[in-house]
Amino acid sequence: MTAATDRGFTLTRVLNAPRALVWRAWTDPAELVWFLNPGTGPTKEPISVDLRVGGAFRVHMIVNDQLEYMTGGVYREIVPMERLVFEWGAVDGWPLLDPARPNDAPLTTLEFAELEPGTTELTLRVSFPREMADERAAEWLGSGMREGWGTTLDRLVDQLAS
Amino acid sequence: MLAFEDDPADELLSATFAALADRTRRAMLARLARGEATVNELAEPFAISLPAISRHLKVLERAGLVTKSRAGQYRPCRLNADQLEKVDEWMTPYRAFFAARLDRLDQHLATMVAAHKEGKNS
Repeated sequence: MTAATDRGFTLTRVLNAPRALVWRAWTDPAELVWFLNPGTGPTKEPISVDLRVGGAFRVHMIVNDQLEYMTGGVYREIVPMERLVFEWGAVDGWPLLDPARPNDAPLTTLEFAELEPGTTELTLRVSFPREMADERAAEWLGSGMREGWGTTLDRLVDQLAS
Repeated sequence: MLAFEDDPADELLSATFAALADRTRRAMLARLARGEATVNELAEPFAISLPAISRHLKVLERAGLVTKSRAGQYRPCRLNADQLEKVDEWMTPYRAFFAARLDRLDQHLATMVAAHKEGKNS
């Protein structure tokens, strides 16, 4: 029953670049520009990277005139060229990080494997802690709480109360 | 990002979330994940009445999470894992975020590799 107890997803990419460059693309603020949406205007804060456990990387994302947010992560584990683990999000952004509750953040694990010289397999795994998953699921449900959704829930509440 | 129309699948999903919002029902599902069980077997670990367990079961059934076998005197309950997997659809924006980022990373690396080669040659 992985869906309910261990919620997350994995993305794997085979990249035509040596592992050292893939690592640099993730950890050098000058190279992290690929995080930004293409064709968007200047950001309110330059990309920053504090590459140490407990340090953060921060990226100001602009989607359009109406939507902009901070994202990034707080590093949990750093094994150069091999493994990078961070709590995904920002204290003032999305996903929202609460410094008092680091275990509630979606944990992102990157693994860098050089398949052959010049080819790197990057595996990105995001896992959601149980509490956060429930919260987000409820939020998602809440965002759809219109028309049919509300009545469906009301019916369920009635059934449970009866 | 997500469409909410009068879609029966959406209605079912909202019922699924509501069903999962209860600790007792989650524990019942966890029990069923280990295999079929009768209502009596399901009720065993809980300090609540059999009718209360039956009500929880009805919620789980309507949410598409549990099916009751029609055959046999004891009608064992079974977990419907397909519906449980759909719950993960709330994760879509998070997955989409990184999928889009990694597309861009791929493009950016091409320019990094080119610059790297140029640096080596000069």
